[in-house]
Amino acid sequence: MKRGEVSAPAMAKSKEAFSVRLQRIGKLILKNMKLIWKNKAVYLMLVPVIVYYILFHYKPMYGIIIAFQDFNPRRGVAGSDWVGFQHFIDFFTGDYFGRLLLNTLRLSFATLIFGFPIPIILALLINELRSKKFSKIVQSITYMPHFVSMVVLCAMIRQFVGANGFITNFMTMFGYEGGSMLTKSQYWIPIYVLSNIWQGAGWGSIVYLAALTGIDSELYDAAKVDGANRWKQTLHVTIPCILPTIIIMLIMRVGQIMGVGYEKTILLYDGAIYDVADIISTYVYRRGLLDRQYSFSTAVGLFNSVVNFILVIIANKISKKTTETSLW
Amino acid sequence: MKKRKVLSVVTSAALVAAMLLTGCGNNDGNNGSSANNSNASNSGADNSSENSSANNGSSDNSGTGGASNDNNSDATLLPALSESEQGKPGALTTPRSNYVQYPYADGEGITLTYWMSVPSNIMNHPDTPDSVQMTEWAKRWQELTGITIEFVGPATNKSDEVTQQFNLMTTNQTLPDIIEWEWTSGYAGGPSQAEADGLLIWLDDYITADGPAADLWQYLQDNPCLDTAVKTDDGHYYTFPFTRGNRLLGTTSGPIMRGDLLEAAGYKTTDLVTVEDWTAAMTKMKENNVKYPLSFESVSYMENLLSGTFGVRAAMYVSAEDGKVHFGKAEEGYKNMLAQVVEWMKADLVNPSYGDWTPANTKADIMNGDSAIVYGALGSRMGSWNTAAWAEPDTYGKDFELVGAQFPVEKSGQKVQYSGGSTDYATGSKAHAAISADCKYPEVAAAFLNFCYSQQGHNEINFGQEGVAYNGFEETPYGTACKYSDTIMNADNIAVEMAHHGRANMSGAFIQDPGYILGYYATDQQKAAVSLWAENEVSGTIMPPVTMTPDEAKEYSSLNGDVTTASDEFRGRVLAGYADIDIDAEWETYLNKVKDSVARMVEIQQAALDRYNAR
Repeated sequence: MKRGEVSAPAMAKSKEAFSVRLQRIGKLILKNMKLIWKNKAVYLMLVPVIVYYILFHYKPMYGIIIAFQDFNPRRGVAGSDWVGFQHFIDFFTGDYFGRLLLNTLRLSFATLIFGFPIPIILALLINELRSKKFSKIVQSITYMPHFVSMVVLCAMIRQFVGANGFITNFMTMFGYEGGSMLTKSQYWIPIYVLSNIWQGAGWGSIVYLAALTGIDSELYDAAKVDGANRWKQTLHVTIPCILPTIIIMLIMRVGQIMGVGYEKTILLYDGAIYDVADIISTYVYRRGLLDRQYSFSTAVGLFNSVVNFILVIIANKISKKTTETSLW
Repeated sequence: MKKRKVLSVVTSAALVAAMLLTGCGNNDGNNGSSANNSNASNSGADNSSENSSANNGSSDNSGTGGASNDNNSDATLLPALSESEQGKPGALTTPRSNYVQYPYADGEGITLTYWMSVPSNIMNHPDTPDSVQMTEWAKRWQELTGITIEFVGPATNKSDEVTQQFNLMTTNQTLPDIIEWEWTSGYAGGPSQAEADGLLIWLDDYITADGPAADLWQYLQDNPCLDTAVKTDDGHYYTFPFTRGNRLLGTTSGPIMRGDLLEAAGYKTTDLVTVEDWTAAMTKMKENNVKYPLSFESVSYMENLLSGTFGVRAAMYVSAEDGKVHFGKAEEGYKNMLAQVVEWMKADLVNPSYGDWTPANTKADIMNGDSAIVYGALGSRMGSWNTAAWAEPDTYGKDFELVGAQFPVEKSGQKVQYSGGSTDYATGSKAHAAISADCKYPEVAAAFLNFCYSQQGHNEINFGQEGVAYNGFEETPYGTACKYSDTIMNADNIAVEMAHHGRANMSGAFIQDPGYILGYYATDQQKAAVSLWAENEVSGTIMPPVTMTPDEAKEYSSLNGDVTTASDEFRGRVLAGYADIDIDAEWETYLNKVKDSVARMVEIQQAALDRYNAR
């Protein structure tokens, strides 16, 4: 018998198996239909969400194909010429690829390493506050910057670290040479990261505070019986209890590594500090929106997304192996 | 301008004569058939319509014209202008023909859509917050032409948003009938690509001596330099252009100085000729406690003010020496300019913290005397600052006066060649009307647009209705000024009210008349400055409105992205590190990085320029 051919009895057998399987699936659907009908209200509530995802998150993905085209808005997706991987090659072999990638990763990791723990610490500190009123005030004040529009916030930062800004003046007392700090490469990362913390720490702590309220108070009582002081309680009760939340947040955060906020960078950077501040997304902004190279920008955006996707999967795998907490 | 009056007299005389003549045949020798024939043959030489209709092979010029409009016959054509009367770059004539009869007979019952972004002056008017539709000029335009228009387009004046809206609009199934846009660089591949993409149509059949856009045709015949500019390399007409054909409109931004502070330091504006003079005067002012004598609103303002001083434009430009295309940001002069600015920063003559070069800081410094020299626009800077200061002499001092000054030159004896100016075909403005490929009545659309290029429509579209928006013209030492009515001059915001009645202070598909600027500029200082800058012979060094082929455009834009990044970075590093930067070393690094790309970009532009010159 030649390879690839299937003997007659085997075929009949597989046919039989197939029909059996079909029946089973039919039964399953029927059973589920009953279940769905029973919970129809819940499923009905799900419908808008599914529609939303299809319309706004899946349908636009079709646009990704312009990354492989020489897209012209007038001719549309159907009419534009195909260029294959040309835009990707252009990007990878471009003068700035290395620098952009490095800058993006540097900025991203700096924000992650310094920015990620702060909301957790803040949440723990707020949790330790005895006075309910005071803790409410602290929370409100720390949330506040989150609600300031990015444009306004960046205008404020520009003032603060400008030639006559109060931060600049303060720094001058410690031997800073003067002038706007935003035109000096070495201050870019600190300004970016610290202002990020200023803006986001309060807001970021909400999810941890929520997790903290879910901790069983009996655990603390037990720890107290064992003679644990507040520090030990935090270390051995609080942190292990909110660890799953922390890890989920961390995994999700890793998924944004390549996509550090372009808005803020565009509003703050300047030609003088392109060597550290120019990141992939700002480069895409200049090329895609200002120079109208849609296909090129889409190609770079797609590259970003793919890298992010891979990073999330890796982070998830690692977390699953080591802590048994994972996104899926 | 006397020319206008002379022209109108001549034109009306010619028209009367022509009307009489049409009845009794063509036996008059003065301005009858023989003159017209020579006109026709003259124009044949530089009018592409014959070539193109041959290319198209389908349509007959006279046929189209005749079908749509039989008001024009050859006998009514105006005599051609002699070479000396023809418009020169920076001195285009005003329209003198009324070939097309309005209201346009074939336009009845037809509604066309007209896409243009709503300028901020119109958005700021209480009657027209989000559309051009209800402006007086839009109403008059429709009324006089007898063609109904629905104005569409985004109510935003942010360049990025307008571009986005344009791109969205082009993806629509059905395009508006008329689209105002920047076609030479605002559409990848230029007008030829737009035609190939089915966006616009060639206008060769309409801009003809007897077509529905005969008045534009006559205007282009009268101004051959403009005729060259508004065609494609292949000789097709594609647009009803926005034309800024007068030098007074060419340079409306330049060096503006606090005359009083300058005088206190013992200088007059006319003393400041070379960079050396500037340094001396600024040093003296510095001693008089002017904190930073020279201010820049932004780095691009710095380039606008000073790059010409060092013999370059901070973009692609045509060198006056060899007539070839150069890229200013890769020329030695650009480095010299930065070196000079750095010198001034070191001496505290310019605010050394270039991150603080903002419009707000500049305004504050000029108003309170911390700074004395800026680069800026006559209307929004000099005019409004002068007016504000004069309103409160106690706060700003009774001597406060901003005056225009000449652009500086590097060494004495040099001419100002690379500073300011603009091309007659005002590319760069998203204001050139094309008829879209989906337009069902292109003749009607052409006739509608043609109105602005006719003698009767010129003032209407620029200033508004006579007797309502303006009351005639007056001669001033600087030229003919439009006498705006009290409705406009007493309005809370003159510019906004002006834009409600006429398009002169905005861009669009018409011939911008300098009368508006002289009528609008409230102060003599502004008028003096604009005529001072108008004297400079600078338009020859501006890159003319060339068009690149689609492939060239693609390559150019890709190279340009990285060159811009590199040049911004070089400029930023030099200015931020002014105190101890080694400019020559930075320059070397930068040039090495970009020189291949720049060479290729220049090559592309040169090829485009050669094609342009060969038109």
